[in-house]
Amino acid sequence: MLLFKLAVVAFVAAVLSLSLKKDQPAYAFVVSVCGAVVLIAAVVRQILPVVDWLNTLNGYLPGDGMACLLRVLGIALVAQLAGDVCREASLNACATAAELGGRILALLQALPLLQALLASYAGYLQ
Amino acid sequence: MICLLAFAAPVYAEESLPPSVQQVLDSGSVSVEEAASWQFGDLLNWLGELLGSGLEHPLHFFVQAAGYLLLAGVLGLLAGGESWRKCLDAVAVLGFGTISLSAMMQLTDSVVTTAQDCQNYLVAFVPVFSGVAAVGGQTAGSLVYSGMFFALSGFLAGAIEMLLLPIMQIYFCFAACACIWGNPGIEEAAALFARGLHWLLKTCGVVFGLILGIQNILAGTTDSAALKTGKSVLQGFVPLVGDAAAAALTSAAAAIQLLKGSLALAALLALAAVFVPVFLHCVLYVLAFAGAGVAASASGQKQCSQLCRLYFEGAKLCASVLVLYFFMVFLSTALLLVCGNGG
Amino acid sequence: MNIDLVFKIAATGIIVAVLNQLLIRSGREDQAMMTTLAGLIVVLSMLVRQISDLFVLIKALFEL
Repeated sequence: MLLFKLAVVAFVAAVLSLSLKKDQPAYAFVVSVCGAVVLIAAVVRQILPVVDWLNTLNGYLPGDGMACLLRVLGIALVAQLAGDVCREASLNACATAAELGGRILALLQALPLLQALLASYAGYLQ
Repeated sequence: MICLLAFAAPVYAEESLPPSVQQVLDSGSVSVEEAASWQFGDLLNWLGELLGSGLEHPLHFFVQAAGYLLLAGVLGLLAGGESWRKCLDAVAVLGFGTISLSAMMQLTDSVVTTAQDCQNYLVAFVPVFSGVAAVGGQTAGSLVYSGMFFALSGFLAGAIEMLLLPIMQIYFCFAACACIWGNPGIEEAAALFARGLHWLLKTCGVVFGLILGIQNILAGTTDSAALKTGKSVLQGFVPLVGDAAAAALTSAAAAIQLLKGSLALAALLALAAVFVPVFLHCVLYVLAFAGAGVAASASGQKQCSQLCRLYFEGAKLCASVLVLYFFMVFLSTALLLVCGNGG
Repeated sequence: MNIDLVFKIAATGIIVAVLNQLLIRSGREDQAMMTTLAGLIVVLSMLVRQISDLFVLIKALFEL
């Protein structure tokens, strides 16, 4: 099952990273980043059919409410990954900056929705 | 009283009803003779036909809302981290607010259109009905009907269009703002506003009911007294034919009563055909918002569930407005039908 | 799932570490540093390709 493979990959990456940490910390970091990327790629490939099915349902939901939600989730995922990678290399400032950027971009995704809502207010309250 | 005697004679020729009366009897999808012989099953069938016409809007809305909320809940679980979940909640509330606001605006528009349609129907119906009632001896009652009740119903319909509609729309927009902003004070204010409107509608209903009821009862006693006096005058002062004339007057009044009954039934059917679908819309939206509120709380989104609660109150208010209007029309017609002709 | 990428990077890391130690012991520190850097560049190119694949997948999935 996929879960066991993921666990094994994580374990192997951890061991290799720790063994390289003292001599070549840069390589240890690269090994850990590679492990994280492989894990996330495996999980995202699993979600593919579910998201396709959700997109077929999109006809029922008005506007792009659902697409907006999915985009915000994607931004959250990538921003979280970037932040954690920075924190792993002890770059806390970079981590905070990456997460802040992610949050701002996520809220910007909601901007068209907010504009549509305000326009409808203006229309109704004439 | 002389007018009673004068009008009683032409009423005998009931084979040819005045054209306006015939029009009222014929308008409407179900004829009065059919409706008068309905069983319970037929009533259910007719209700079912009315329901099936406009049912898909609230159902569609409920499916959309439930799906959206569940999806947002699931994605919130996946997002991980408190701040990301708040981000996702904000976007979800925006999307949900847009859906609900447009649905509610449609609902308020349909409520206003219904009230206007009912009022237009009444404009045609009230003169006919009060004319028939006056011919049947209920002069004071018909004056009350065509005077006070008609004015009240016109006032209520106008108030619904000019006053209540903007207020409801402002309430819905305000509720959406409050939930998106998330300030608890504004949500309390919106809930308080809903309660105030509910109380106001109930008071209006009670006051209108009291006014119309008292006036109708007073008019009814006046009319029955007039009819009794008329009969006793006939019996006492006109020899020989007095008894026959009194009996003819009673039978004429009874025939008029039958005609009034059919008119009232026709009006009730026509108004119900306009009113029941929209009322059912409101009820279904109320249920949909209750269900969506449950879905929102289950998926842990506080803002969305608060929005659902506030819109639940708002949809209930729309239903109450409709009920108030229809109750007033129905009560007053029934009172005119029942009161009077005690003799 | 290309777990062999992790092994490749780890193997490159171990080889570079060993070469590093050898070159430092035999006194050629500058060459040691150059070996480390070269190994790092190779490893980074492998990783960047993997990361770009992941981001293309995410972009297609979430319509970002």
